Amino acid sequence: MAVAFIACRSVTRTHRVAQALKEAGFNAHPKRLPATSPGSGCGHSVQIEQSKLHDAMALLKEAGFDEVTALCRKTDGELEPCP
Amino acid sequence: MIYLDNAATTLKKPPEVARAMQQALESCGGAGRGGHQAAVAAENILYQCRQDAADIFHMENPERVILTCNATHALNIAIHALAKPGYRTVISGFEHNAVYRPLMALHAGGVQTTVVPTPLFEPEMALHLFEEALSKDNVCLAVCIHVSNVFGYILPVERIAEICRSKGIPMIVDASQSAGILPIRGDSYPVWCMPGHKGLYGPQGTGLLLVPPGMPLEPFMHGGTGGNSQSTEMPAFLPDRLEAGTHNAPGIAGLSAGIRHVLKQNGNPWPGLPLLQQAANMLSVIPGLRVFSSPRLFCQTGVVSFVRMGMESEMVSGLLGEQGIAVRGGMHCAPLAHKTAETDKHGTVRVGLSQYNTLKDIQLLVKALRRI
Repeated sequence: MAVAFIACRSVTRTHRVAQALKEAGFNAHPKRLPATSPGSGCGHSVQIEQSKLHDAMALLKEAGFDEVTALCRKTDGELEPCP
Repeated sequence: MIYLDNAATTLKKPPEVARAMQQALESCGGAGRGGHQAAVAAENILYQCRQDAADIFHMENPERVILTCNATHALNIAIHALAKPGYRTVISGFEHNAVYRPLMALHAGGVQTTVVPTPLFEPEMALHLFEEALSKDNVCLAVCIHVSNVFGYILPVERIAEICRSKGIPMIVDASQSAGILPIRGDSYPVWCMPGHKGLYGPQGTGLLLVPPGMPLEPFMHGGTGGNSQSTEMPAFLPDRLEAGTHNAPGIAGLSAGIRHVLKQNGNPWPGLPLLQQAANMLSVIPGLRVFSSPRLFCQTGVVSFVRMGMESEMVSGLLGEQGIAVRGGMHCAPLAHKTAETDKHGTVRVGLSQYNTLKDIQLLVKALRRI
Protein backbone atom coordinates (compact mmCIF):
# COMPACT_ATOMS: atom_id res chain seq x y z
CA MET A 1 0.00 0.00 0.00
CA ALA A 2 1.50 3.33 -1.05
CA VAL A 3 1.39 5.94 1.68
CA ALA A 4 1.49 9.72 1.62
CA PHE A 5 2.19 12.22 4.36
CA ILE A 6 0.33 15.35 5.29
CA ALA A 7 3.00 17.60 6.76
CA CYS A 8 1.82 19.83 9.62
CA ARG A 9 3.48 22.78 11.29
CA SER A 10 3.54 21.27 14.80
CA VAL A 11 3.03 18.01 16.63
CA THR A 12 -0.18 19.43 18.12
CA ARG A 13 -1.53 20.32 14.69
CA THR A 14 -0.59 16.82 13.57
CA HIS A 15 -2.75 15.31 16.27
CA ARG A 16 -5.65 17.62 15.42
CA VAL A 17 -5.43 16.72 11.74
CA ALA A 18 -5.15 12.99 12.50
CA GLN A 19 -8.16 13.22 14.79
CA ALA A 20 -10.24 15.07 12.20
CA LEU A 21 -9.37 12.49 9.57
CA LYS A 22 -10.05 9.54 11.86
CA GLU A 23 -13.44 10.96 12.80
CA ALA A 24 -14.21 11.12 9.05
CA GLY A 25 -13.31 7.46 8.63
CA PHE A 26 -9.76 7.73 7.30
CA ASN A 27 -6.98 5.45 8.51
CA ALA A 28 -4.61 8.21 9.63
CA HIS A 29 -1.96 8.48 12.30
CA PRO A 30 0.81 10.90 13.33
CA LYS A 31 4.23 10.20 11.87
CA ARG A 32 7.51 12.00 12.35
CA LEU A 33 9.30 13.12 9.19
CA PRO A 34 12.95 13.91 8.49
CA ALA A 35 11.78 17.37 7.31
CA THR A 36 8.55 19.12 6.40
CA SER A 37 10.34 21.28 3.85
CA PRO A 38 13.95 21.69 2.69
CA GLY A 39 16.06 23.35 5.37
CA SER A 40 13.36 23.29 8.02
CA GLY A 41 14.72 20.55 10.22
CA CYS A 42 12.68 17.66 11.52
CA GLY A 43 8.93 17.86 11.24
CA HIS A 44 5.61 16.19 11.85
CA SER A 45 3.01 14.66 9.61
CA VAL A 46 -0.03 12.45 9.36
CA GLN A 47 0.42 9.24 7.41
CA ILE A 48 -2.42 8.22 5.14
CA GLU A 49 -3.05 5.90 2.21
CA GLN A 50 -1.98 7.68 -0.94
CA SER A 51 -5.21 6.69 -2.69
CA LYS A 52 -7.19 8.61 -0.04
CA LEU A 53 -5.00 11.69 -0.07
CA HIS A 54 -7.14 13.79 -2.40
CA ASP A 55 -10.28 13.27 -0.31
CA ALA A 56 -8.37 13.87 2.92
CA MET A 57 -6.92 17.15 1.68
CA ALA A 58 -10.35 18.29 0.54
CA LEU A 59 -11.77 17.53 3.98
CA LEU A 60 -8.97 19.40 5.71
CA LYS A 61 -9.41 22.41 3.48
CA GLU A 62 -13.12 22.48 4.21
CA ALA A 63 -12.42 22.19 7.95
CA GLY A 64 -10.14 25.23 7.80
CA PHE A 65 -6.79 23.55 8.43
CA ASP A 66 -4.20 25.75 6.79
CA GLU A 67 -0.47 25.18 6.46
CA VAL A 68 -0.74 21.50 5.61
CA THR A 69 1.27 20.05 2.71
CA ALA A 70 0.82 16.69 1.02
CA LEU A 71 4.12 14.84 0.55
CA CYS A 72 4.69 11.69 -1.49
CA ARG A 73 7.72 9.45 -1.77
CA LYS A 74 9.89 9.66 -4.84
CA THR A 75 11.35 6.44 -6.25
CA ASP A 76 14.59 7.13 -4.35
CA GLY A 77 12.63 7.33 -1.08
CA GLU A 78 12.93 11.11 -0.72
CA LEU A 79 9.80 13.14 -0.08
CA GLU A 80 8.37 15.69 -2.47
CA PRO A 81 5.12 17.63 -2.72
CA CYS A 82 2.49 15.34 -4.19
CA PRO A 83 1.45 16.11 -7.75
CA MET B 1 -4.78 15.52 59.38
CA ILE B 2 -7.74 17.69 58.43
CA TYR B 3 -6.51 19.39 55.29
CA LEU B 4 -7.99 22.84 54.71
CA ASP B 5 -5.18 24.41 52.70
CA ASN B 6 -6.62 23.58 49.30
CA ALA B 7 -6.28 27.17 48.09
CA ALA B 8 -2.53 26.52 48.07
CA THR B 9 -2.66 22.99 46.66
CA THR B 10 -5.39 20.38 46.69
CA LEU B 11 -3.82 17.49 48.57
CA LYS B 12 -6.37 14.78 47.99
CA LYS B 13 -6.65 13.98 44.29
CA PRO B 14 -8.87 11.58 42.40
CA PRO B 15 -7.03 8.21 42.35
CA GLU B 16 -6.82 8.23 38.56
CA VAL B 17 -4.40 11.20 38.75
CA ALA B 18 -1.62 9.19 40.41
CA ARG B 19 -2.33 6.21 38.15
CA ALA B 20 -1.99 8.35 35.02
CA MET B 21 1.24 9.87 36.31
CA GLN B 22 2.75 6.50 37.14
CA GLN B 23 1.85 5.17 33.71
CA ALA B 24 3.33 8.23 31.98
CA LEU B 25 6.50 8.04 34.02
CA GLU B 26 7.02 4.48 32.87
CA SER B 27 6.12 4.98 29.21
CA CYS B 28 6.90 8.52 28.06
CA GLY B 29 9.91 9.89 26.25
CA GLY B 30 10.22 13.46 24.99
CA ALA B 31 7.10 14.64 23.17
CA GLY B 32 7.89 15.61 19.59
CA ARG B 33 11.48 14.51 20.02
CA GLY B 34 11.34 11.32 18.01
CA GLY B 35 9.11 9.02 16.01
CA HIS B 36 9.45 6.11 18.42
CA GLN B 37 6.78 4.69 20.69
CA ALA B 38 7.92 6.52 23.83
CA ALA B 39 7.90 9.92 22.10
CA VAL B 40 4.51 9.25 20.57
CA ALA B 41 3.16 8.19 23.99
CA ALA B 42 4.20 11.58 25.38
CA GLU B 43 2.69 13.41 22.39
CA ASN B 44 -0.60 11.63 22.95
CA ILE B 45 -0.64 12.66 26.60
CA LEU B 46 0.06 16.30 25.80
CA TYR B 47 -2.58 16.40 23.13
CA GLN B 48 -5.13 14.70 25.37
CA CYS B 49 -4.50 17.30 28.06
CA ARG B 50 -4.91 20.17 25.60
CA GLN B 51 -8.16 18.63 24.43
CA ASP B 52 -9.43 18.09 27.96
CA ALA B 53 -8.61 21.71 28.77
CA ALA B 54 -10.32 22.87 25.57
CA ASP B 55 -13.39 20.85 26.59
CA ILE B 56 -13.67 22.17 30.12
CA PHE B 57 -12.92 25.77 29.10
CA HIS B 58 -15.13 25.69 25.99
CA MET B 59 -12.37 26.32 23.48
CA GLU B 60 -12.64 25.45 19.83
CA ASN B 61 -8.93 24.96 19.21
CA PRO B 62 -6.68 22.96 21.60
CA GLU B 63 -3.63 24.57 19.97
CA ARG B 64 -4.45 27.66 22.04
CA VAL B 65 -3.95 25.70 25.26
CA ILE B 66 -0.38 26.35 26.44
CA LEU B 67 1.10 23.92 28.95
CA THR B 68 3.07 25.72 31.65
CA CYS B 69 4.81 24.87 34.94
CA ASN B 70 2.22 26.69 37.07
CA ALA B 71 0.04 29.81 37.08
CA THR B 72 3.01 32.04 37.87
CA HIS B 73 4.77 30.80 34.73
CA ALA B 74 1.64 31.42 32.66
CA LEU B 75 1.22 34.91 34.15
CA ASN B 76 4.85 35.78 33.47
CA ILE B 77 4.50 34.77 29.82
CA ALA B 78 1.40 36.92 29.42
CA ILE B 79 2.61 39.91 31.44
CA HIS B 80 6.01 40.08 29.75
CA ALA B 81 4.31 39.91 26.35
CA LEU B 82 1.64 42.52 26.98
CA ALA B 83 2.94 45.07 29.52
CA LYS B 84 4.65 47.79 27.49
CA PRO B 85 7.35 50.23 28.62
CA GLY B 86 6.03 53.78 28.70
CA TYR B 87 2.50 52.52 29.22
CA ARG B 88 0.34 51.77 32.22
CA THR B 89 -0.92 48.38 33.41
CA VAL B 90 -4.10 48.50 35.50
CA ILE B 91 -4.50 45.82 38.17
CA SER B 92 -6.94 45.07 40.97
CA GLY B 93 -6.13 45.57 44.63
CA PHE B 94 -6.26 41.81 45.19
CA GLU B 95 -3.44 40.63 42.96
CA HIS B 96 -1.09 37.89 44.05
CA ASN B 97 2.67 38.38 43.91
CA ALA B 98 2.59 36.23 40.76
CA VAL B 99 1.22 39.37 39.09
CA TYR B 100 2.59 42.14 41.26
CA ARG B 101 6.23 41.07 41.34
CA PRO B 102 6.63 40.65 37.56
CA LEU B 103 5.12 44.11 37.10
CA MET B 104 7.41 45.61 39.73
CA ALA B 105 10.38 43.91 38.05
CA LEU B 106 9.34 45.51 34.76
CA HIS B 107 9.03 48.90 36.41
CA ALA B 108 12.73 49.66 35.90
CA GLY B 109 12.17 49.17 32.17
CA GLY B 110 9.43 51.80 32.16
CA VAL B 111 6.31 49.70 32.76
CA GLN B 112 3.96 51.65 35.05
CA THR B 113 1.34 50.03 37.26
CA THR B 114 -1.92 51.45 38.58
CA VAL B 115 -3.58 49.58 41.42
CA VAL B 116 -7.35 50.00 41.40
CA PRO B 117 -8.31 50.28 45.09
CA THR B 118 -11.22 47.87 44.85
CA PRO B 119 -12.99 47.37 48.21
CA LEU B 120 -13.61 43.84 49.45
CA PHE B 121 -16.87 42.13 48.33
CA GLU B 122 -18.04 45.11 46.29
CA PRO B 123 -18.00 43.93 42.67
CA GLU B 124 -20.09 46.81 41.33
CA MET B 125 -17.66 49.29 42.85
CA ALA B 126 -14.75 47.31 41.39
CA LEU B 127 -16.32 47.52 37.97
CA HIS B 128 -16.85 51.24 38.25
CA LEU B 129 -13.29 51.88 39.45
CA PHE B 130 -11.81 49.67 36.74
CA GLU B 131 -13.80 51.51 34.10
CA GLU B 132 -12.48 54.80 35.40
CA ALA B 133 -8.86 53.58 35.44
CA LEU B 134 -9.13 52.02 31.98
CA SER B 135 -10.50 55.27 30.55
CA LYS B 136 -7.27 57.13 31.25
CA ASP B 137 -4.61 57.57 28.58
CA ASN B 138 -1.68 55.31 28.10
CA VAL B 139 -3.21 52.07 29.38
CA CYS B 140 -1.79 49.02 27.59
CA LEU B 141 -3.03 46.17 29.77
CA ALA B 142 -5.42 45.14 32.55
CA VAL B 143 -4.75 42.26 34.94
CA CYS B 144 -7.37 41.00 37.36
CA ILE B 145 -7.56 38.04 39.67
CA HIS B 146 -10.78 36.04 39.21
CA VAL B 147 -11.07 34.93 42.84
CA SER B 148 -8.94 36.44 45.59
CA ASN B 149 -6.67 33.77 47.05
CA VAL B 150 -6.97 35.46 50.46
CA PHE B 151 -10.69 36.17 50.71
CA GLY B 152 -12.37 34.05 48.05
CA TYR B 153 -13.83 37.27 46.63
CA ILE B 154 -15.10 36.78 43.07
CA LEU B 155 -14.20 39.81 40.99
CA PRO B 156 -16.37 40.68 37.96
CA VAL B 157 -13.71 39.74 35.40
CA GLU B 158 -16.11 39.01 32.55
CA ARG B 159 -17.59 42.51 32.81
CA ILE B 160 -14.16 44.11 33.17
CA ALA B 161 -13.16 42.15 30.05
CA GLU B 162 -16.06 43.70 28.15
CA ILE B 163 -14.79 47.17 29.04
CA CYS B 164 -11.28 46.18 27.96
CA ARG B 165 -12.58 44.75 24.70
CA SER B 166 -14.50 47.93 23.92
CA LYS B 167 -11.32 49.96 24.45
CA GLY B 168 -9.00 47.51 22.68
CA ILE B 169 -6.97 46.94 25.85
CA PRO B 170 -5.64 43.38 26.35
CA MET B 171 -6.58 41.70 29.60
CA ILE B 172 -5.08 38.89 31.66
CA VAL B 173 -7.11 36.95 34.25
CA ASP B 174 -5.42 35.08 37.07
CA ALA B 175 -7.74 32.10 37.45
CA SER B 176 -5.67 30.37 40.11
CA GLN B 177 -8.58 29.98 42.52
CA SER B 178 -11.36 29.68 39.97
CA ALA B 179 -10.18 27.09 37.43
CA GLY B 180 -12.29 23.98 37.93
CA ILE B 181 -14.66 25.86 40.22
CA LEU B 182 -16.23 28.69 38.23
CA PRO B 183 -17.20 28.60 34.55
CA ILE B 184 -14.41 29.88 32.28
CA ARG B 185 -14.63 30.46 28.55
CA GLY B 186 -11.10 30.23 27.18
CA ASP B 187 -12.07 31.71 23.82
CA SER B 188 -13.49 34.84 25.45
CA TYR B 189 -11.54 38.10 25.39
CA PRO B 190 -8.93 37.77 28.17
CA VAL B 191 -5.83 35.62 28.40
CA TRP B 192 -6.50 33.09 31.20
CA CYS B 193 -3.72 31.82 33.47
CA MET B 194 -4.16 28.99 35.95
CA PRO B 195 -2.40 26.28 37.93
CA GLY B 196 -3.08 22.58 37.48
CA HIS B 197 -2.65 21.70 41.13
CA LYS B 198 -5.66 23.38 42.72
CA GLY B 199 -9.26 23.13 41.49
CA LEU B 200 -8.26 21.04 38.50
CA TYR B 201 -6.80 18.34 40.82
CA GLY B 202 -3.59 17.89 38.84
CA PRO B 203 -0.14 17.64 40.42
CA GLN B 204 2.17 20.50 41.37
CA GLY B 205 4.36 21.72 38.52
CA THR B 206 1.54 22.01 36.01
CA GLY B 207 -0.37 25.00 34.73
CA LEU B 208 -2.26 26.36 31.74
CA LEU B 209 -2.29 29.51 29.67
CA LEU B 210 -5.37 29.91 27.47
CA VAL B 211 -4.75 32.23 24.55
CA PRO B 212 -7.87 33.70 22.93
CA PRO B 213 -8.02 34.12 19.15
CA GLY B 214 -6.27 37.23 17.87
CA MET B 215 -3.99 37.69 20.87
CA PRO B 216 -0.35 37.47 19.72
CA LEU B 217 2.03 36.68 22.57
CA GLU B 218 5.81 36.85 22.36
CA PRO B 219 7.81 33.93 23.81
CA PHE B 220 9.01 34.28 27.38
CA MET B 221 11.42 31.37 27.04
CA HIS B 222 13.35 30.30 23.98
CA GLY B 223 14.62 26.82 23.19
CA GLY B 224 13.92 23.52 21.53
CA THR B 225 10.42 22.69 20.36
CA GLY B 226 11.02 19.41 18.55
CA GLY B 227 10.39 20.85 15.09
CA ASN B 228 11.71 23.45 12.61
CA SER B 229 15.06 22.91 14.27
CA GLN B 230 17.09 24.67 11.59
CA SER B 231 15.43 27.97 12.44
CA THR B 232 17.11 30.22 14.98
CA GLU B 233 13.74 31.59 16.10
CA MET B 234 10.83 30.18 18.02
CA PRO B 235 8.01 29.00 15.72
CA ALA B 236 5.39 31.61 14.86
CA PHE B 237 2.46 29.35 15.77
CA LEU B 238 0.89 28.06 18.95
CA PRO B 239 1.44 26.13 21.11
CA ASP B 240 5.10 25.77 20.10
CA ARG B 241 5.77 29.51 20.21
CA LEU B 242 5.24 29.58 23.96
CA GLU B 243 6.51 26.12 24.94
CA ALA B 244 10.29 25.69 24.92
CA GLY B 245 12.00 22.60 26.32
CA THR B 246 10.86 19.15 27.31
CA HIS B 247 7.38 18.90 28.79
CA ASN B 248 6.46 17.46 32.18
CA ALA B 249 4.62 14.52 30.63
CA PRO B 250 3.85 12.69 33.91
CA GLY B 251 2.53 15.89 35.45
CA ILE B 252 0.50 16.68 32.35
CA ALA B 253 -0.94 13.15 32.38
CA GLY B 254 -2.03 13.78 35.96
CA LEU B 255 -3.50 17.16 35.07
CA SER B 256 -5.41 15.59 32.21
CA ALA B 257 -6.88 12.99 34.58
CA GLY B 258 -7.75 15.74 37.06
CA ILE B 259 -9.54 17.79 34.41
CA ARG B 260 -11.50 14.75 33.25
CA HIS B 261 -12.54 14.17 36.85
CA VAL B 262 -13.87 17.73 37.07
CA LEU B 263 -15.51 17.37 33.65
CA LYS B 264 -17.43 14.34 34.94
CA GLN B 265 -19.30 16.69 37.24
CA ASN B 266 -20.96 17.97 34.06
CA GLY B 267 -20.48 21.63 34.79
CA ASN B 268 -22.49 21.51 38.00
CA PRO B 269 -21.75 24.33 40.43
CA TRP B 270 -18.82 23.70 42.74
CA PRO B 271 -20.24 21.29 45.33
CA GLY B 272 -18.37 22.96 48.16
CA LEU B 273 -20.35 26.21 48.16
CA PRO B 274 -22.92 25.13 50.80
CA LEU B 275 -20.02 23.86 52.92
CA LEU B 276 -18.23 27.20 52.59
CA GLN B 277 -21.40 28.94 53.72
CA GLN B 278 -21.60 26.61 56.71
CA ALA B 279 -17.96 27.24 57.51
CA ALA B 280 -18.46 31.02 57.39
CA ASN B 281 -21.53 30.75 59.62
CA MET B 282 -19.88 28.43 62.15
CA LEU B 283 -16.72 30.54 62.37
CA SER B 284 -18.71 33.75 62.75
CA VAL B 285 -20.16 32.71 66.10
CA ILE B 286 -16.78 32.00 67.71
CA PRO B 287 -15.96 34.85 70.11
CA GLY B 288 -12.93 36.93 69.15
CA LEU B 289 -12.96 35.93 65.50
CA ARG B 290 -13.46 38.32 62.61
CA VAL B 291 -14.61 36.37 59.57
CA PHE B 292 -14.42 37.77 56.05
CA SER B 293 -17.48 36.64 54.14
CA SER B 294 -19.82 38.32 51.73
CA PRO B 295 -23.57 38.31 52.50
CA ARG B 296 -24.92 34.88 51.46
CA LEU B 297 -21.56 34.36 49.72
CA PHE B 298 -22.97 36.12 46.62
CA CYS B 299 -19.46 36.93 45.42
CA GLN B 300 -17.30 34.41 47.25
CA THR B 301 -16.09 30.90 46.61
CA GLY B 302 -13.53 28.35 47.76
CA VAL B 303 -11.95 30.33 50.57
CA VAL B 304 -12.93 31.95 53.83
CA SER B 305 -10.40 33.96 55.83
CA PHE B 306 -10.51 35.05 59.43
CA VAL B 307 -8.44 36.81 62.06
CA ARG B 308 -8.26 36.01 65.75
CA MET B 309 -8.28 39.33 67.57
CA GLY B 310 -5.02 39.97 69.39
CA MET B 311 -3.19 37.05 67.80
CA GLU B 312 -0.85 36.76 64.83
CA SER B 313 -2.47 34.69 62.11
CA GLU B 314 0.73 32.66 61.71
CA MET B 315 0.49 31.76 65.39
CA VAL B 316 -3.16 30.70 65.05
CA SER B 317 -2.38 28.50 62.07
CA GLY B 318 0.60 27.04 63.94
CA LEU B 319 -1.58 26.15 66.95
CA LEU B 320 -4.19 24.63 64.66
CA GLY B 321 -1.43 22.65 62.95
CA GLU B 322 -0.45 21.19 66.31
CA GLN B 323 -4.02 19.90 66.60
CA GLY B 324 -3.85 18.30 63.16
CA ILE B 325 -5.68 21.05 61.26
CA ALA B 326 -3.86 22.27 58.15
CA VAL B 327 -4.70 25.89 57.33
CA ARG B 328 -2.51 28.73 56.16
CA GLY B 329 -1.77 31.91 58.08
CA GLY B 330 -0.01 35.09 57.02
CA MET B 331 0.06 37.08 53.81
CA HIS B 332 -0.65 34.25 51.34
CA CYS B 333 1.82 35.85 48.87
CA ALA B 334 -0.71 38.65 48.36
CA PRO B 335 0.34 41.69 50.41
CA LEU B 336 -1.62 43.89 48.02
CA ALA B 337 -4.87 42.12 48.95
CA HIS B 338 -4.14 42.59 52.65
CA LYS B 339 -3.38 46.24 52.12
CA THR B 340 -6.69 46.64 50.28
CA ALA B 341 -8.64 44.87 53.03
CA GLU B 342 -6.55 46.47 55.79
CA THR B 343 -5.38 43.13 57.14
CA ASP B 344 -1.73 43.80 56.32
CA LYS B 345 -0.63 44.06 59.94
CA HIS B 346 -1.34 40.48 61.05
CA GLY B 347 -2.48 38.75 57.87
CA THR B 348 -5.33 36.25 57.98
CA VAL B 349 -5.91 32.58 58.63
CA ARG B 350 -7.23 31.05 55.45
CA VAL B 351 -9.52 28.05 55.14
CA GLY B 352 -9.45 26.69 51.59
CA LEU B 353 -11.93 23.94 50.74
CA SER B 354 -11.93 21.27 48.08
CA GLN B 355 -14.63 18.89 47.00
CA TYR B 356 -13.22 16.29 49.38
CA ASN B 357 -13.88 18.32 52.54
CA THR B 358 -16.90 17.55 54.68
CA LEU B 359 -18.91 19.21 57.43
CA LYS B 360 -17.00 17.09 59.94
CA ASP B 361 -13.76 18.82 58.89
CA ILE B 362 -15.31 22.21 59.67
CA GLN B 363 -16.68 20.98 62.97
CA LEU B 364 -13.20 19.80 63.97
CA LEU B 365 -11.72 23.15 62.93
CA VAL B 366 -14.27 25.00 65.05
CA LYS B 367 -13.59 22.69 68.00
CA ALA B 368 -9.84 23.28 67.67
CA LEU B 369 -10.30 27.03 67.39
CA ARG B 370 -12.33 27.11 70.57
CA ARG B 371 -9.41 25.48 72.38
CA ILE B 372 -6.97 28.23 71.35
